[in-house]
Amino acid sequence: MARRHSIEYEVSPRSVEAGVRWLTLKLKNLGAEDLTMLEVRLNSLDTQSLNVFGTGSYLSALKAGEEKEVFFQVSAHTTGSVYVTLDGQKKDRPWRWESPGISVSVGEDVAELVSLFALTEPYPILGEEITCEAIVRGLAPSRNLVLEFWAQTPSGEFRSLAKEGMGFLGADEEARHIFEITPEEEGIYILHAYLYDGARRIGHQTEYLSMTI
Amino acid sequence: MAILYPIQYELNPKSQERGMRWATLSLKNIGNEGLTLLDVRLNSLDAYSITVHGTGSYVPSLGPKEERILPFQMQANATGRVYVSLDGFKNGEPFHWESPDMRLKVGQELAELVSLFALTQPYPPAGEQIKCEATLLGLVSSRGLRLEFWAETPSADFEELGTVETKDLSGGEAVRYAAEVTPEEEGLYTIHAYLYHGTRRIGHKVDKVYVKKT
Repeated sequence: MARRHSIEYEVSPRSVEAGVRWLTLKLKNLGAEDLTMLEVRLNSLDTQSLNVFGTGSYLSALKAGEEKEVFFQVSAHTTGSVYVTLDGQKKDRPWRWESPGISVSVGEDVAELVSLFALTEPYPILGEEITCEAIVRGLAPSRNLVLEFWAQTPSGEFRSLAKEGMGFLGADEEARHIFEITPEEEGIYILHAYLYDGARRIGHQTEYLSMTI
Repeated sequence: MAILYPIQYELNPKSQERGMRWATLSLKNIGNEGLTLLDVRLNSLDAYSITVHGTGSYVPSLGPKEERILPFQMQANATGRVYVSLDGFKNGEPFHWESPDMRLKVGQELAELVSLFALTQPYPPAGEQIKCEATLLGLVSSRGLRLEFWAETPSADFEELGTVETKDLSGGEAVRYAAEVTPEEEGLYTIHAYLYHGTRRIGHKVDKVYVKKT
């Protein structure tokens, strides 16, 4: 089980088929103090991919050294991430805890969008062309994947940067795709890479750029 | 209204008080072809901050130039980001569309965690110290907010990099804080910054760094 501060936690299974499924959350209080009146939530980091039903669970107490299981029903569409939050009391004072993101794999996609990086120094300057790189890893042989690159500008415009068919990609093969952007506005740009298998979006990564004059 | 062809869209209001709220989504088909059997969803990118209730709306058809207004109920806990997705058919072929994410302001926070950046070259080598810098913006006067830096390693450890009690901030004042990490493993590191007011998390940003072996 993973650990953060005084809580050990585990979500299982980490791989499910698409559809309505159950996930089990194991929690263990490793601290010396009892935790009480706990609201336990499993929060999705993209509810299109994974949608957790209900408003959470309630544990009246998780005593020092105690372990409990909590069950959550989810609608699983594509691979995504969830994280756990606990809101309650410790020694009669408000207490809060949260886990980092926990990836849950859904179904068997043919490829994975591994990363999107802007290949630049921190705080690049305006007007400079920036190369960005997305890495796609094949999980099964495929030939019809499409990769799209978009930019959200500081003024709110959403601009298409490139759209590429990926051709044949074998299992375990890694493909690097490059695109360029020349930011012209000061502020924060959000770059997006979307990976599509037909009309199904199977990957999405973002990268932030802070542009200064 | 924003446009991402073939849809013109707008979510209102863009600012909510905390609690159970309604938002309306305006959708207009500005393309030349009708869209049918549309599953319309408002998706949250952090369901702890904003939980959209229900499983979406169904629009049997949205013809060219046609507009619909759809209500969505949400539990608004903190400022977050949402986006719209449409799944249906165009000319008998499967059709998927999604908007970029939209910021939805919830309540009046004391400060905003604007950004987190790992100040490094692309693909830094293992063993090299990396500075991670968070920028905060005061929205009203505040004191004693807590900023935590954490790193998730490729082997899934979650390591605390540092905790800072922020200085007194006034409205409009920007300030930067940093923490260091020296990655020892090859692979993807995810750096987190969390901003707290008491036990309430009022900001969370991540940045990713892919570390190469030397």
